[in-house]
Amino acid sequence: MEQTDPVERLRAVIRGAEDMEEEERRSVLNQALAYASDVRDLYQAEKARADELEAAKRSLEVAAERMRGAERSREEFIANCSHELKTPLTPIIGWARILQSREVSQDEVREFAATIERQGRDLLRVVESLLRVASIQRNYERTAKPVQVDVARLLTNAAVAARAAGRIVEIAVEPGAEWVMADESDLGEVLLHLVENALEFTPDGSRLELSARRMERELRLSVADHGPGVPEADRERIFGGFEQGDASSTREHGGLGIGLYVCREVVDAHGGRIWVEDTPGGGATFICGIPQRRESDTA
Amino acid sequence: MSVVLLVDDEPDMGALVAMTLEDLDVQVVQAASLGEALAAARSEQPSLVLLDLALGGEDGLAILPRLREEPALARVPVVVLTVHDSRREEALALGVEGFLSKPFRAEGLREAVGPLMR
Repeated sequence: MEQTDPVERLRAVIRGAEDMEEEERRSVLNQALAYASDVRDLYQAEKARADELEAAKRSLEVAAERMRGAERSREEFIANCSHELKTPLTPIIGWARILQSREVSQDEVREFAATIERQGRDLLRVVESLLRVASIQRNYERTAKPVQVDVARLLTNAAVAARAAGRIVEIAVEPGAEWVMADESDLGEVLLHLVENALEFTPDGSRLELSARRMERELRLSVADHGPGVPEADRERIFGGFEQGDASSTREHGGLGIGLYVCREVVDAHGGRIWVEDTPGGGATFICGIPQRRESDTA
Repeated sequence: MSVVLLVDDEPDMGALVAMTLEDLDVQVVQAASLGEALAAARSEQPSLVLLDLALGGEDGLAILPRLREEPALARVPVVVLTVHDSRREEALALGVEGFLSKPFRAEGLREAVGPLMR
C-alpha cells in the first residue's frame, strides 16, 4: 500500500517499528527521520507561499487606500476650486447688477467698475493656477522620463531664489544621495515651490537648509526653515489646494495656496510621498520621498 | 432704522449688501470675525444676522450657540450667505432661518431678508 501523505507514511513507519529487532528498528527510525524532513520541507514551502500571499494582499490594500486617498483629495480640490471661483464672482455679479438696476453717479460708476475689475483679476489668477495644475498633470502623463538627476544641482538651483531673497542657505547632500531617478523639471518645480513657501513664512536673514539623504528605497529631499512651523492639525490640509494654514495667513501671505497641491501631485506621479515635520528648534521641514531602486539593483 | 449685521470677512461685501437692500430701509453693519460679530450684535441689537460660514480660520456657525445664550440676542434670525453650498443641511439643522448661496441674486436676498425685518 502506497502512502503519499508524508505524515501518514511517518506514522506507519513508527507503528511498524514497535515489534522489530534492534537493528531493523534503527534503520526504520532513520527512514522515519527522512520522512520527518520531508514534512518539514513541505511545511516550510507552504508557509512561504502563505507569507507571499499575505504580502501581496497587504500591498494591494495599500494601493487601494492610496487610490481612495487620491480620489478624496481630488474631490476636495474641486470643492475648494468652486469656492475660490465663486468668491470673486459674487461682487462681480452683484455690482454689475446694481449698475443696471439703479441710478448711479459718475463717481459710483468708477468705484463699482474698479471693484469689478479687481475681482475679475482675482478670478483670472484662480483660473491661471488651475491651468498650471492641469498642465503639470498632463505634462507628466505625456512626457515624464525619469532620468538620473544630479541632486546637488537641483538643490543649488532651488537655493538661488532664497539667496536672492536674503536667506542664508545651507545645502547638504549625504553620501549615497548624489543622484535621484526622477523627472528633472518637475522635481525642480517641487523644490522651487517648497523654497518659495519657506520664503513666505520666514523673515529676511533667516536660515534655510536644503538637504538630501538616501534611505533604503527612498531618496529624501527636505527643505527646513526656521519660521512659525505648521500646527499638527493643518499638516494634511495644507496639501489640499487653495488651502493655507489659516485664512488670516492667506491675506497676510497672499498667494492662492496652490503650490503645495502641485508638489503633492508631482510627488504622487513619481509614486512618492510628501509631508511636513517640525524643524528641530522650531520651524517647518517639508520632506519629499522619491522611491528608488535598491542600491544592489542598480548597475 | 433696523440694523442688518453682516458677518463676512470680504471687505467689499458690506457695501454690496447695503446697496442691494437699500429699498428695505436698513442699515448694514459688517463684522469680519466671530469676536467682532458678537460685539457688534451686543451694541447694535440687529434685526437680522447675515452669516458667511468661512471667516478666516473660524466657522461662522459657531456664532449660533453664542447668540442663543444671550437673552437679548437669542431670537435674532440668522440667514446664511456663503459659497459653501454643501453645508446647507448642517446649517438648517442648527436652526438658521434661511440659506442663500453666493453669488446671490439681488431679488433672492431681498426676498429672504424682507419678511424677517421688523
